[in-house]
Amino acid sequence: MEFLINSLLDIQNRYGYLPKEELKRISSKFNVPISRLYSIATFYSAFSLKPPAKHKINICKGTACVIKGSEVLEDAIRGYVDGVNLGYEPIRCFGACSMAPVVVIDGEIHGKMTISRLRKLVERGLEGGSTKT
Amino acid sequence: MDLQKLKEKGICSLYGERITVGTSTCGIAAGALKVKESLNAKGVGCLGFCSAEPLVSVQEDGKAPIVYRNVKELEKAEILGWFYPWEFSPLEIDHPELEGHHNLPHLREHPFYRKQVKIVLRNCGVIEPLSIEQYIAMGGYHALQKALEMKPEEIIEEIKKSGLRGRGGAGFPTGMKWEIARKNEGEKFVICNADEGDPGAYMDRSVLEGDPFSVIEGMTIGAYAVGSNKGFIYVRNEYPLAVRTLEEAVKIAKDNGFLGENIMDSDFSFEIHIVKGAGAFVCGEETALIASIEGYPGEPRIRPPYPAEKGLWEKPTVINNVETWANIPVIILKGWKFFASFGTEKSKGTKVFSVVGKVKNTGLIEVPMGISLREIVLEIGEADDVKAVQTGGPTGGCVPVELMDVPVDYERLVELGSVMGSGGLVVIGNDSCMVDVAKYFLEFTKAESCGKCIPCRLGLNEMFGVILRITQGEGSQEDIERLEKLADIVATASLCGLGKTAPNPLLTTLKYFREEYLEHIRGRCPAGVCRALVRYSILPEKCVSCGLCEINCPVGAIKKTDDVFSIDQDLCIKCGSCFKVCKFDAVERI
Repeated sequence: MEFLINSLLDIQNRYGYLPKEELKRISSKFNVPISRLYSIATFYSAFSLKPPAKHKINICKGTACVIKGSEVLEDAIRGYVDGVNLGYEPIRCFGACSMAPVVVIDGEIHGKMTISRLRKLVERGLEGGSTKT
Repeated sequence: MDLQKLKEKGICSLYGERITVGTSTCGIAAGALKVKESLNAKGVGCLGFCSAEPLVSVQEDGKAPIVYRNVKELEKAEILGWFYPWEFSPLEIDHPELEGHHNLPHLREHPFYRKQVKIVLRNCGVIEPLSIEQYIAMGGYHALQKALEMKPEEIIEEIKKSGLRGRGGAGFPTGMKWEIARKNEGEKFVICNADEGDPGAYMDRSVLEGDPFSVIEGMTIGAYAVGSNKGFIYVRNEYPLAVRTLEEAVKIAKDNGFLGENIMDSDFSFEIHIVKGAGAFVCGEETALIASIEGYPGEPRIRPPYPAEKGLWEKPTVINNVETWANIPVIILKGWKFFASFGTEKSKGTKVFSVVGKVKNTGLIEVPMGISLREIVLEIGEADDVKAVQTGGPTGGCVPVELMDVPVDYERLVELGSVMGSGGLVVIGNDSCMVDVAKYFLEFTKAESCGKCIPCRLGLNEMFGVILRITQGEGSQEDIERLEKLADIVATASLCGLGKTAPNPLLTTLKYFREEYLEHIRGRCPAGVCRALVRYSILPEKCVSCGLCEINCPVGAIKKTDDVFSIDQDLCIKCGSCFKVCKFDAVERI
């Protein structure tokens, strides 16, 4: 049983979330009810039960970024976030405080972000273009 | 398995011609991998001096290594100092003669290293983390060899006498924990707690990435002493490099006969499994960690029974943190007297701290217990603007600058309302608002409360609401009393360390910086941090219309009308960029 969470992490890493079929497989392999897997998946922040969005955006909510206005950036993208095409998650600190405010779009770090630049990047990504600069 | 042969191989590779680059996670973030590739260098752990990374050390044949700081190109880099590879290690090591560089500064002359005593970090930044030969050449596995010839009771006695206390923060005497587990019968487990969740603390990561065998050797000695054959390392998933390094290290130790059946040709057998955490701060609490290994949500349970009596799967279990385990080989090899010669009456040995925030020299330091915060912050960190020092992570407290002469040990920090915790030290400058700092930590602990105990789950939420109100200028005098009452309830009625200590940041800031709270209630944030209480404007008589503020405004709130600039208060997000960039003091903060 010590490897139950390790196995779930492997699945999470492979699919980006925990698909139902895989949970059923784990449930029978470890002989635990699926409700217990559900309680694990919702307790630990590493797990997600929904497929990841096509584009992922993280805004840093670390001290330096908040002071430099990252909360305003957060408000600016609210209207675009739908969880399917664009998923949003705040992150505590990227450790790139000298570039605050920091936004990460599809894994690429953008420093000294402004509202207008952020809107452009997000719109371009949602229209099917690349968010890479 | 031949210790002598491995040792000779290690000496060869350690003292020959060699260029090394610190490639722990922090070094990599500073660009160490590129440097490593361009120099065709070997990757080692971290020498601790984060603000000087990437750190490159160059060792010519027969000469001691020279360390260069902030390396992009080696030719242009500044020399930090030279040192002998063995000189940070307290162990007596056979080593060849190396010529020193007496015309250059020695590493020890740098303020960052002057007061350090390295026991836990003895090999970090010197050996290649996965070279078991180099680990042995630096005195590794000699302690296990010695321990296997001792009686388990003798080992426990040695640890007890050394005065070693748990480095995870609570400070329970390690030897006593082992003795309790030893006396219990049947199958037993040892666990290494590597779920280092405090933001701003990374000493465990550094040890795991830089010197994994020291932890594995420590655990093996512990397992032999308490009579266990199976161990776990619970490491957080957010440390991918540490996880990979550990998995490799366990395999290498096994291949060389230091783990598995009949360790070092004795009749003792011991195996180690790596279990990954899944992103829950509370799992650093030992009973929550056990629940997590058992495959449940990480919720703490009532103690007693303590894990040493009934732990993992109800079996006696010794849980110690990474730093504690890394101390064990040194205590066994050098004896308890050596270890106990450092520190204070009740807190022996050294402690690793991560010094971050408003200091010049950020990094990991290992200092004897009993050193004062002033020495750490001002002498080692070379800070010049200090208002307070936050110790012990999100559940620690803020010690004001006036009290920084107090010696650092477990008891004294508790007297000040803080805790030792895992050893994070955040230096707070005069430009920070203490109410905002308390709010920041409450936001963290309220999000990380596991939800089992109602006082912690609801109390922290309520406290956060009240403090939020105060930072928005809507607080009242009663709110302060309300906060104190709630803090008392949460600390008294919660089960585990998280809830018991979560009010610390609030209580210490209220105790030492009460005036700042009162100022907020009167509608002013003295440090100019709380945005609802700050207003920026441009003084036309001082403004020279250079336009620097306009360029730097992130939201375009600054506009030029009639030759002077002004701030549109509806658009202003109060980030303070204009205030910081103006060279003529024309931006006013009220």
